[in-house]
Amino acid sequence: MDKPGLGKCIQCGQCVESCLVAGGGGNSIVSELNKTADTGAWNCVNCWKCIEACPQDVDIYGFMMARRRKEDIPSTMRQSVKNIMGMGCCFYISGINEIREFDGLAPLKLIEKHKVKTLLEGHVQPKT
Amino acid sequence: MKIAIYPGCMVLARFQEYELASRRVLEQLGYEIVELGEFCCCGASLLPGVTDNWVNLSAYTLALAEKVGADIVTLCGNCTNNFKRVNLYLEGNPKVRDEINSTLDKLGLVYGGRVKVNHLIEVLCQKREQVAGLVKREIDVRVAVSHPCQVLRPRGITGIEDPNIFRRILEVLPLDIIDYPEEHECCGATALLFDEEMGIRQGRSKLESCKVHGANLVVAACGNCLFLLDRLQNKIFGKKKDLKIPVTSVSQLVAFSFGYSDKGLSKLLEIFDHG
Repeated sequence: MDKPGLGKCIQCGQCVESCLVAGGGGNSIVSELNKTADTGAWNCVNCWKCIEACPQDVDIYGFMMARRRKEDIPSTMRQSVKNIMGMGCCFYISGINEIREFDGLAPLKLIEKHKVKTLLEGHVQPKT
Repeated sequence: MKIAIYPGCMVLARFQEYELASRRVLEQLGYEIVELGEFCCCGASLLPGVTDNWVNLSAYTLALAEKVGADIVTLCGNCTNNFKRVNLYLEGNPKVRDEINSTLDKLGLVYGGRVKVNHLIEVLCQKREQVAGLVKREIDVRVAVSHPCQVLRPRGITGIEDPNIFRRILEVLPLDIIDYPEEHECCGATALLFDEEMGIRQGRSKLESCKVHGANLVVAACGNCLFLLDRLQNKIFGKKKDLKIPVTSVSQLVAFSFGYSDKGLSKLLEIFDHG
């Protein structure tokens, strides 16, 4: 997908208008985009209304990822990241197959930790 | 047609009844459901920004599906968006494909980009005439729809032009659908990760509006929406129990209308089956 960069942003504020976080009084990625805050890239509900609202087709997702790399991960999110790295799942899961059996579902195997490590050590620089 | 159901972390961990009902419904529609053998997070919304290698996690599951010749049906918004995003990265970008495959190769896998990913509501919407033909049970209910944001937006990733595909499914079921102003608003579940109060406030606002506008059931199609709107209702409403409203998943509602009565689907039975 070819998308114009941030230079195309005309500071119209449509993204801010559409943003649940900004509407709730918080700083989000669109606050950074509109230069009303310098942190907020992690404060996103991923509803992507801002992308739909933008008349200039600015790559807000790409901007958000670039900003996230420069900001610390919120402490509340760190455990989820650890869980993914530790067991390939956002949540700590224990006894999942007992629950699945009770609900009539076939057992399921979580990916082994060393495989997650291999996947996250790869060399990918995707265009965001 | 072969499909693999990808429940996603939230549904896997907390909403077995949603997965079970999805299996029942898709089997009824004639799909052959195959297992991928291993579950791996799609990379979620957390890892982009932490590492660009999150795409390898999605690619891993896509490669497993390609190996068994199956397309993927997702149950959550976030996973749907991530898988579709990875497929788009690969499309016409041999360098990214080679990079991903050099990593997958270490685990004995390869991904050629051939796996189609659709969320359950996309599948059910496409098959809604068949869904209508399988209905066996009337449901005396007034439903409010909570659309899964990341299944629908952004269109450049999801490929979905009609923001009401979820409604199109419910329209063929024998039930009433109510309108409410916040129908297309995000439920706020992801806000729980960085501002719990904001998430709870958004969930409350949505649920209250559903009830004010006449709904007696809210139906969602994403584990995160279900988590906030259903599981956190005690936190949302506190002691005001009269404000609570039942919440279920699209597949439990469809499976119920198809006549299923599994114990995993009993929540709806308790509420609406007076027979």
